[in-house]
Amino acid sequence: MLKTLGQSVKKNMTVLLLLLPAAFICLPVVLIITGSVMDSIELKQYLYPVFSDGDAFIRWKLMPDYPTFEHYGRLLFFTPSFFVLFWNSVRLVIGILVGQMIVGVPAAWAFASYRVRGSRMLFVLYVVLMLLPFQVTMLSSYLVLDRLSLMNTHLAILLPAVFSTFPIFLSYGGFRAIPLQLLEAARIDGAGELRIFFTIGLPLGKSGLLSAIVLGFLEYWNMMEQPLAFWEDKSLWPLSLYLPEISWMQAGFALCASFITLIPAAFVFVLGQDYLEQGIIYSGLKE
Amino acid sequence: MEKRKKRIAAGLVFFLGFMWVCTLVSKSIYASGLPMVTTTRIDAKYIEHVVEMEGIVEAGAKLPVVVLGGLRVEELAVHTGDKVEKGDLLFTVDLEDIREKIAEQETACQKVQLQIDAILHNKELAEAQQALEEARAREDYDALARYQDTLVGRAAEDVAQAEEDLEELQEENREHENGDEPETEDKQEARRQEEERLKQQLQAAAYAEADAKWNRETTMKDAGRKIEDILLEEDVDATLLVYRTEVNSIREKIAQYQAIIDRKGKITADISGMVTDVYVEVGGRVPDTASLLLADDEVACQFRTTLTKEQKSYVNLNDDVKLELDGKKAINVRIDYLAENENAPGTFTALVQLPEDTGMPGLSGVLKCAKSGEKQPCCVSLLALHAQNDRHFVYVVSEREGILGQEYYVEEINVSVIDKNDQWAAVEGALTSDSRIIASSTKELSRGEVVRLADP
Repeated sequence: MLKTLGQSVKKNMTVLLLLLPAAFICLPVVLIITGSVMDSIELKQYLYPVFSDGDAFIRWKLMPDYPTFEHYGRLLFFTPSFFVLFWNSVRLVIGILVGQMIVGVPAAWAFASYRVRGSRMLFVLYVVLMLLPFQVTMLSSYLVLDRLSLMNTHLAILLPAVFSTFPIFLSYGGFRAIPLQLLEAARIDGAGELRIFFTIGLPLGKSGLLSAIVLGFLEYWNMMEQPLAFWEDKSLWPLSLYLPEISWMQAGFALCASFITLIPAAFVFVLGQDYLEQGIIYSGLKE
Repeated sequence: MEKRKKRIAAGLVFFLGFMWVCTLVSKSIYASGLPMVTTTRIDAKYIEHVVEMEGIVEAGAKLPVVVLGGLRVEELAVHTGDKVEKGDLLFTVDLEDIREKIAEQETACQKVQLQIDAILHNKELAEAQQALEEARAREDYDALARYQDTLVGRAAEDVAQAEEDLEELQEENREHENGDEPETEDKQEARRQEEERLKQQLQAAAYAEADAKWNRETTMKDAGRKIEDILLEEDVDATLLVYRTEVNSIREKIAQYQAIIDRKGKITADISGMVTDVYVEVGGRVPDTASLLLADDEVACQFRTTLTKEQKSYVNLNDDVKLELDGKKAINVRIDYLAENENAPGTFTALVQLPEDTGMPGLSGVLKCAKSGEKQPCCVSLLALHAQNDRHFVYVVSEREGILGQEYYVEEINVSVIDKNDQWAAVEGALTSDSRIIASSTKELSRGEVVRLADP
């Protein structure tokens, strides 16, 4: 009996210890949500150390004294530029993801299901490319795009993203999980390569594809460097560049925009959470 | 797909739909708040200055109708603007009132006449008094002259007697001195003393005669002066003359009143013309000054207008201008008079002599004067030209890429105005033929403001 009670207390203590850092990590989201419904004067009062360059910490209240939806009203009904950027982001992310599916998925299928001399080397090269951060490839990308006169066009962002190796890597994990014998059996039964791809490869490897889509969405929804580097035209900018345009004097408005920006990503994350986990597992599988 | 995911996907779709609606709403609100502007471009033009000055026709000459002041107006036959012919009735005065006035004047005349009579009577009395005084003075003078002559004669007789006595004594003394018988010293001494006494007596008589003569002269002079004083004229007194003049004046006035009575109280026009001013009213008294002013038909009318300083810069004396009277066909006239108003510095009065039989007093009209300058290469509509303090500027539409895409915004370009009329202004500044100058806007504009083009 005592042993059971001790185990229960131990378990609860463990849960409590784990919940504390989780709650701490969630604080920025809480700050965004409460700040977005906070009166400007109250917000300025709490954020005074930020504006005055003081050493003090900001104060915060989980329940604002003067709650208001003024910032939401202003953002949603009086700021068309926000929506321009919002739909730019939607178009950009969908374009990139569709492009990646068209280009990357067949590539990943080829790597996973066909054993060609040098294919492994090529895949290693892909992985290396995937590991290179944007800052490393920015100059070469800039030179190429400029040479192709694609600067300040949608293609300047779309093309490098469409041909990204990361979705290939993730999809490859999903396709790799399909037994080769199954594919051989299909071929013996007379199925063509396209049929095998569409009827066996895509359904069985969809976890990898969807995880690539979810991770890709989260990455490109929050993309900042590429638009800043390749787009001068503000009308092309994605939503992620809207917040830096807002001065801190409009903190409530900025927090409100942050919250709205967060919503699609949250939807996609919740929707593809299972596939995301699966994709991470695939990426960790041994060859 | 499991149910939970379906709900999440539906939520995402709903969110996107909500965002789409918000996009529409925010864009419509934004678009409705944008000022709608119309644009124009610079143009090469001759800046023609058309100066239009409104004014009024005035009589060329006004003649007063002056009637004996103080009469009561019984009936007014004319009003301002009425046209009258020579002999036409202007107004009628109250006859009873005139009769009362005549009675008053006659009373006054009698009073003055009595004053004159009294003065004349007094004058006669004074003259009689003076004559009497003169006669008496002359009588006194004569009596005094006789008396003084007597005194002088007596003094002369005393002198003659003294001389005679002295000569007799001296004769006796000479006889005794030449005689044979010597006289005693005592007798001689007595003779000398007697002679000395007679000499003194003679001297005293001579002195008395001289005094008598001097006294006579002095006394006679005073008496003569007294007569002269009486004969002197009195101080000039104009009272009588004044009273007589007053009587004449009263009689003249009575005669005028009588003349009005003879005309049955009717005051008529001496000339043909138009009534421009009426200073009498029914029941009121006729003023001492003009009762009416008549514009003489014989003299042509004139057009009077007032110019601002800016208008004056385009209009000069003797300029040929066009005049539209009462919206009728324009006639060519000339500026005959142009001078600054003393009462309103900065404004000018222009007078135009109208041709005969043109216009009538009180008629309004517009004087137009057009002057063209040189052809200016850069002209903008006055609607597009703005001024702030001494600075002139135009708003120009420029394009820029913003978050909302290509948008039009307002730029302010400073210009200097070379010349302008009421429609166009010739300017100098950073304007080109491609500049889209804002001519009108649905809202007040400011620099950098985003606008919408009504004529894209």
